[in-house]
Amino acid sequence: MSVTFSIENENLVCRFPHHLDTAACTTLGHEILGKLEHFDNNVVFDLSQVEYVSSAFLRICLIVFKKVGADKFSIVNVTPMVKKVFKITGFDQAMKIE
Amino acid sequence: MATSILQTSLTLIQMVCVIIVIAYLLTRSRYFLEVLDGHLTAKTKVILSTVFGIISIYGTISGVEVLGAIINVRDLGPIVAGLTGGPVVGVTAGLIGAIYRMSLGGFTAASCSIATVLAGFLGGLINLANNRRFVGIKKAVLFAVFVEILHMLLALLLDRPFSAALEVVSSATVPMIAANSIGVFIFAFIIRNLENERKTQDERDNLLRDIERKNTELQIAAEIQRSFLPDTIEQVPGFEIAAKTIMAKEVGGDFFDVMPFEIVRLKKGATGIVIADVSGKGIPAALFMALSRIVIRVNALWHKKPTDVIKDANNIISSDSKSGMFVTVFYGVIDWESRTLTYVNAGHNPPLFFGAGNREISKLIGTGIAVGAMENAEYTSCELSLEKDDIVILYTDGVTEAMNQREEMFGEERLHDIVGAGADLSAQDLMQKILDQISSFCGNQPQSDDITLMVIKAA
Repeated sequence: MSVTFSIENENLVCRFPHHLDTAACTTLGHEILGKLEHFDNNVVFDLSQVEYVSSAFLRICLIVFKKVGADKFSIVNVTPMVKKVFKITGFDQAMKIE
Repeated sequence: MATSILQTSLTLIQMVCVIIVIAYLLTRSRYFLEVLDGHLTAKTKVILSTVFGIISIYGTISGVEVLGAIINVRDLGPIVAGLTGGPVVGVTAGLIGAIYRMSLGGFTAASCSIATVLAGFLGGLINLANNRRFVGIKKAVLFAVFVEILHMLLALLLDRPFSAALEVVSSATVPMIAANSIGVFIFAFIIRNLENERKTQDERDNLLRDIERKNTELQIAAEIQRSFLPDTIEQVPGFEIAAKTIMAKEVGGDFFDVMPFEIVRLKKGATGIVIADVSGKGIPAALFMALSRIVIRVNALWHKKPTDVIKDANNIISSDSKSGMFVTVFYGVIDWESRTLTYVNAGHNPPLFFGAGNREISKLIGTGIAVGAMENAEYTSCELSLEKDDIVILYTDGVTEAMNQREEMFGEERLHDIVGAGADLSAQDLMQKILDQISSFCGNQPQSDDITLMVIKAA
């Protein structure tokens, strides 16, 4: 299973699979950046299916966050376990996480 | 009539098959490698001439009668001999074939024999003109066509009576051109495959050499880097400090290891403690870690307040961070006299604090975002008083995320339990106990992440 993309209300919604270890993330970054090539609206990462994130995924979040800007990037439907990771690393102080 | 065409076709196919087998065996022999290089020893020249001469004789013997003319591939041997071995080999093979043909007689004997020798000679000239390299499939086949046309012209020129010669030529030309071209095509195709094989082998040998060299360079780098590491942990008066890193061995051997912790002697009775974890694995992560360590160490020596240290370090590291790399850092300063720990936790796993007074464990939670993630990030600090027998445990997620065969993680709770139970041990013993527990928990499951642990106990 890999990431799925959809356009909802003109926003790019990315839905991720449940185990985002380092291996799963190797091509993910390029895939997502490819979609952002000529895209100007908001980007939403939907993590409703995600139960594990590695630092590789955090790096992808960081890259996209820096590329589209704080106002246009948000992460939604985060499970408590995943939310904890964002909290510990302090990423929740910079990014919008719900 | 029909049977005779079928019969003829079968015989021709048989002939072609024999040629394929001979071509394959010949080009697989080690003598033929010299042909690819363009340097033939005398012995190889003799062998090639003989073999192609025999092929020429076979060409005559296996001739098939088609519409009153004998279709044969006598010229094939000398053609390939010349194209691969040069004029001497070509002519010699041609002579062998020609002499046999002459011995059979007939009114086309002269033209056939001369054509056979010429085929070898001209092929050899082409070989010379191409720097002793084989000319490739297309040119070889075109040459074969040319040779057979030449052969037919010679027949018209020399063979008498002219009317008989004309008859032979008119019925034999096309089949002769076809048969010899096919034969040359087969040889040329097999030779081309051989050339490709050789090229692939050379490329592979080069790649293997490159890998060998790179492995050696990595080993040397690891050696040098190991020589930088202190043999003993810097101690702080009034405290016991034990620290250890167990690297996860990647497939393929040692990588450029960088220890993710530091104990830095600062000015005026203070010691800086750093534990860090970089996002990623392998050489890029190791280099990023090396960079981060140095930047933090320099800032630690320059600034008094931990918040200033991390703030400046973060700005420098962020500007160098590409592809989203960041490092989680816990930086604390132990003041020897006041026995306080002032710390910044930039995104790192919250260290455990065991208070000897109430025997309770609390966590030193984050005071800012991981280093390298955002430029101009703000950090706050916390201060902790260290009374006698208080313990601080710093660790990386290799500890809590260590997995056993059932894919269970070691987890924070187990760590809490061990610390609670082992609080009366020395720092060294407690550290060893935790490492032993992790080891027995994981069993045979290979270690997937670096395990770093530091235990500080107030004496």
